[in-house]
Amino acid sequence: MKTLEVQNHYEVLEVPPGARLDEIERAYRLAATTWSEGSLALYSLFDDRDASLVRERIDKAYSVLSDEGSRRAYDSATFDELPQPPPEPASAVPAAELSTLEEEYDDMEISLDSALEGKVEGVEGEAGESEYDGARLRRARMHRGIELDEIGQVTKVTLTYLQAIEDEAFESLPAPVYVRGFVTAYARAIGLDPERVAKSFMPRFEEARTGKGRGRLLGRR
Amino acid sequence: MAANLAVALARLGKRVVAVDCDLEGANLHTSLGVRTPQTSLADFVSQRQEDLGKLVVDTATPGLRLIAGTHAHLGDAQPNHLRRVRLMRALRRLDADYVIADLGAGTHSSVLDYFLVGGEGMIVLQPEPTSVENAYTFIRAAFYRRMRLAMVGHGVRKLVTEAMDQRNERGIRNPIDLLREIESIDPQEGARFVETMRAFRPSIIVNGVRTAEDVKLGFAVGSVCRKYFGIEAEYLGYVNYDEAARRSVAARRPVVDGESGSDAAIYLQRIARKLIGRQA
Repeated sequence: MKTLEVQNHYEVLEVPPGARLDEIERAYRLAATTWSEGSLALYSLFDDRDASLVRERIDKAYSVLSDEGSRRAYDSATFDELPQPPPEPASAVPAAELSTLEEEYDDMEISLDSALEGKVEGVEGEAGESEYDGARLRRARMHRGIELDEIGQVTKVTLTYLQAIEDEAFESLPAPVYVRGFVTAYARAIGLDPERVAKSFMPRFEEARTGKGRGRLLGRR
Repeated sequence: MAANLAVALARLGKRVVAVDCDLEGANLHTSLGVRTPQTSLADFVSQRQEDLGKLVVDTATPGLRLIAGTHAHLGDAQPNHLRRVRLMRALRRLDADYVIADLGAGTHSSVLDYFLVGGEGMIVLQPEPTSVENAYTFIRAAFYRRMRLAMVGHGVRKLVTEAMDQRNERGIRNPIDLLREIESIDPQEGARFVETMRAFRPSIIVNGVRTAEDVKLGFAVGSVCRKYFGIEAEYLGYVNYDEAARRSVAARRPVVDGESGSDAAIYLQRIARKLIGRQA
């Protein structure tokens, strides 16, 4: 076991040598939160003096690895053989290959990348026939590590409406034309296909609004 | 958590035995909706029944059976070492794909032993300081107990025992300090220490998640474990704070069974699938 003093910068940030810059940035963001003053994850194990030593080490590692020139110099001084970048992430798996049953599971698989990254690029496991209801949107948002008020800041949609979308409190929402805008903005903010989400969510809303399925939908709450 | 994971695994076609090892606070049968069984793990612990398989009762979920922890006498919860070893052997021999053992709170040696004997030690924590503190206290106790058992030399064992006291005179503050001390006394034991440490891989589940920040706690705890203990603690998943879970407890029915469409049930099913995937 290597102590922090003798770990290389990649080990400190817990990324493989040759990690892409975006991976390094994500790892740094997680580390910065984890080792921040008053962090819940440190409670009872690290006092602030020890945590600040780790923070200094993390900052140093990031300052070297986030700069292309200094990283190259560091790599050639540290490794006999220069580290190769890892293969592209698995998000390129065609959504059509995922069965509907597996879909939610794949969608919800925890990964460091998605938990830290606001937006998820590429094709994902959410595609297919299953419905985007409010609960599923909330799960997808939580999975990506995004708070509701962050979506509010990005989309400029009030928190009350965003909450009503997740809770399917349809009676608290305005006219469909606005709700469609809110839902697509929400979907975009968490990296889902806005059209697909709106196509799935809006009929639920409109059905409840016209009163046809009111009992059923309100009964969900 | 134990009841729900057991039901989720059974619903995925696995043959599961849930065992209530918490003889001081047995309630797994209630969570599973089983009326107080007449046979219990206490019968094995107090040597009234030597065949653990005969203590198994059926539950309402096909594929899921239970060994309850009811009717225990004072002292049953902390059986002597020999009895504990027998129990652990018998648990391993149970005819099932998965044995889910529900452990009591605290860090008594019997709890630590049941935890360490299992293939997959899972620690459930909530996003609040008291729970995080309890989780680290438990990991720390289990870690040092595992290390002490792995060390051969008397002197090194004594050193591990000393390190367990956080205010020890040698100034050993964490496992890394301890390793340095061991290596200076006996490099071979040092190598054994590192090897044992690598094999100690508890899993983390964060329960009662309300915010996206809470979701990230599992990663953060994993990172802290890596830097403090030098161990890999895998983040197995999270379960949200859900009214459905509360209603299920009141209804004495696991949420994955009674409210299978709820967020909590979906998260629990995901953890069960991940467990199966890990074994594959």
